[in-house]
Amino acid sequence: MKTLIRLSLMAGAVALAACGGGGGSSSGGKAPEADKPVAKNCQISESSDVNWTALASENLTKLSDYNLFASSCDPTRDAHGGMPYDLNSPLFTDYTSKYRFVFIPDGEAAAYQQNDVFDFPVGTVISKTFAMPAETSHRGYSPDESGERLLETRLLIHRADGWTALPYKWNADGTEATYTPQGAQLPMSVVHNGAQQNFTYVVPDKAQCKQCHSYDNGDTNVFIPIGPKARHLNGDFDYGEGPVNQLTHWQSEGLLTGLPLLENVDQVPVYKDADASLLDGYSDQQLMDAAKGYLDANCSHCHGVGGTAAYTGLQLEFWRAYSTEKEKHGVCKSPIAYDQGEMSYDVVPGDAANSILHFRMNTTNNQDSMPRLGRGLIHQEGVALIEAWINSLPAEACSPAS
Amino acid sequence: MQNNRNKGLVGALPGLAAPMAIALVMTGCGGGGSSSSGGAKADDKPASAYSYPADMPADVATKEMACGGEDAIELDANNITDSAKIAFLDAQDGDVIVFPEGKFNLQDTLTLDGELGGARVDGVTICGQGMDKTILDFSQSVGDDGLFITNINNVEIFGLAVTEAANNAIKLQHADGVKIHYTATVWQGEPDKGNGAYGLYPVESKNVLVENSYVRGSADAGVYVGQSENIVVRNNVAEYNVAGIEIENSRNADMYNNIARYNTGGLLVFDLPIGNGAYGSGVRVFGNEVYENNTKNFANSSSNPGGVHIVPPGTGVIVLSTDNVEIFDNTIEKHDTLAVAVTSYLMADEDAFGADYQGIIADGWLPLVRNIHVHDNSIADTGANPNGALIQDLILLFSFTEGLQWSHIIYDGAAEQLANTGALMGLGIGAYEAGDKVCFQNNSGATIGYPYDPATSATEAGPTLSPAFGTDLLDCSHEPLPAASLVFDGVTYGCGVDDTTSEHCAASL
Repeated sequence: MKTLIRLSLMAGAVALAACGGGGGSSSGGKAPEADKPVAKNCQISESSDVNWTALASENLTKLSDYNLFASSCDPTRDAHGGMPYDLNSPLFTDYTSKYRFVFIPDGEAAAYQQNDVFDFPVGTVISKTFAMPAETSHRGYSPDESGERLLETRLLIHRADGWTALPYKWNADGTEATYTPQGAQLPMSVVHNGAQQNFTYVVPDKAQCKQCHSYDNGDTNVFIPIGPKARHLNGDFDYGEGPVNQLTHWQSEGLLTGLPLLENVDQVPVYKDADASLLDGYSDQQLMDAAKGYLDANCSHCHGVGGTAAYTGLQLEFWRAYSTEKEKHGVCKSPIAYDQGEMSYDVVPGDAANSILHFRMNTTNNQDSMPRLGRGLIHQEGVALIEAWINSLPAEACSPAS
Repeated sequence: MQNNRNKGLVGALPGLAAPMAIALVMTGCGGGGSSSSGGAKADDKPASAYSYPADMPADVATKEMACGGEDAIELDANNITDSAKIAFLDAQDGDVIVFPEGKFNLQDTLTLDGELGGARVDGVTICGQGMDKTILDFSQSVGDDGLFITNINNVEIFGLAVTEAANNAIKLQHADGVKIHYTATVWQGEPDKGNGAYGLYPVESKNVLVENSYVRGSADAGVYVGQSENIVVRNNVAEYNVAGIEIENSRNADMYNNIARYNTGGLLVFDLPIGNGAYGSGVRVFGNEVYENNTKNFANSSSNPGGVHIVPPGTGVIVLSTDNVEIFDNTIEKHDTLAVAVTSYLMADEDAFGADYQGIIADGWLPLVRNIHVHDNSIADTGANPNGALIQDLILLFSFTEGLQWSHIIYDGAAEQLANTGALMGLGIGAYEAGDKVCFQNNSGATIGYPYDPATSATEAGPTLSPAFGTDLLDCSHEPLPAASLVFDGVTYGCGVDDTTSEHCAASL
């Protein structure tokens, strides 16, 4: 049995007080004042043993009971053997910060896949935490600062009978995450580029998780992870000793087998929000690569082979060549299950303003907005990229006469 | 942008110059000019989602059925979204999920995926206390659909209303066994393209029964059954939708004893070039009351040549590029434009045999209409104010050509003419044989018109304009189509199977 030590984190001063049994959650302290950083009661585990047994079969009520992280109120650091990772061009989720870790059982490793998500061994756990910054210009989570608020931690667990998704919702204090399969709708606000935006943040329910985390292999729909693909991991990460390539690091840590020479691995270009200001200087090829990377990360899990929207004919995987498969990229292609009203084609090269793809990214009307789930705000930087890309494309039959 | 819309065949005809369009003041063309176009009058509408039209068929709106039972899962009226989501996520074989009485604001789409873990769920009932008592309002939802139910066998829904969903009210996909009854889907207020698309929307499913339900205000189709097979849609009321009830790309369907009124188009049988191998055939439309479908078309326009935005307002029944359709014993009255339209896809897109469609044609779709029998319908008060962007030129052709009049029934004839001339031999399609023909018989004196005489020769340029008008054109008949039936939870449903009492079903035994 692990013993729990209750940690009371006061602003600027950390006081440790050992408590037996880990019973009640009262710290006996005074109620925090409204405008000051919140004092938190966090539990620090003495044991660094991940609760693999429970992960394999039980949906525990408290995230902390899996013992994936050192602190019960910080899923963003000090993972118990979990490898942190980042994606070159991440999926947009309402300007949240995301903290990702993969936990692979000792002695096991993921098998490299060229195009698909890596083949992770049974037992693997992927933890992804979503935190909302008060201002997107000030990111970074710390339990004793009020800059970011923890919203949810999603565990993807590869159990013997397949992958499953366990959504955990953080309480308002950020001290405890509770299993919430039904998801939640959270009133939210964020300041981005100096403008406050109010919206409803949606924690998807388990069935909604599968809308995106789904692969139809012809016989059945199976649940799969989305992010950890070679092309998205093929970038640098600073593990504390300067940036190194994530794939080679995973390989050297024994977490990944079958990695070819890096020069033979696809690489989605890094595109973070700050890069939007550089778009004017992008060459057409840079726009193509960045846009395809963005569309891959944000769309292709549905709009791709085996995805729930493959039937629409819009298929946006990064590896699909634009030059030979323009229609799959939406070029001069009419949507088959959507009537926009004024616009006719998903992508009109040279005319982003009349391209449905751009339109549906650039609205929050939930009759029209894409992606269907997980977006309550417009991703201004993503829209800017897609706009620049469409406008940079050579004219096609549906393009306006020059 | 190039204009890519409404490039239907007649729209491209020479000799129908634009200036005529500005002089389009139509007069009644026989058949009684007293057509009402007041389908969308405010005083016809329910005042709230709780009240339904007073002239609904007996007991549809107020039907009380037992929704509950010893092992039923009662949802929490104080936390309806979360408790419904949990019940949907945990759905097991045989579950009965009970919505309490009341009007509830749902915060998100309610998704039931029967393949979340383990074997596909078989047998779930979702019910409320009556469509006038259990109202699930999605106007504040962050989701697009109201209910979304997928990967499941034998799901039954009754006794509730779904209102104001952003997209579809109740969508079911990949379901084998669907029974929806005493269910309402409603968007209130004036017809608005901002309303959701479909009301009751089973798609890519098998064994679908939709009965005794009410659908109002859809900006596409009130009841839409698509890419499915073994379908019965009966005893429903569809009003103020763009399309009242639509069977699309589906096989083996009966649509009967419904009321379709105040829509843009009443009853639609479409087969569209969607490219997934699911194409329609075998649809019977009978015993329906179809009247005053004169509401303006409030669908979003789109580049899809076969979208419902093309439906001419004031049309009773439309068959578009579907084979094997029988339309009989319907009452079709008071339509501004047409009682019945039977048309190949050439009316939607004159290039329907062109290069862009070769892949779809190889996939199994054809622009043709074959083996169509429209007979013994009671048709009255048609064509007082023919309108609709798609058919402007057709209207002009019939209205301003000597010897012609605007007719109650239109058949385009274009694709048949091409086939009869041998122009489609490259697709392996020869002349229409007796069993392929489009036939009209005994439709209470309704007039029939076609712009392209099937017996005229087409040229290399395309079909030859050769219009005709009369009451006895295309007079032929076909053997009756077999009744559709479906199996839900081991029980077979259909006209002449479980329904042996309504007029046509006693006779069809």
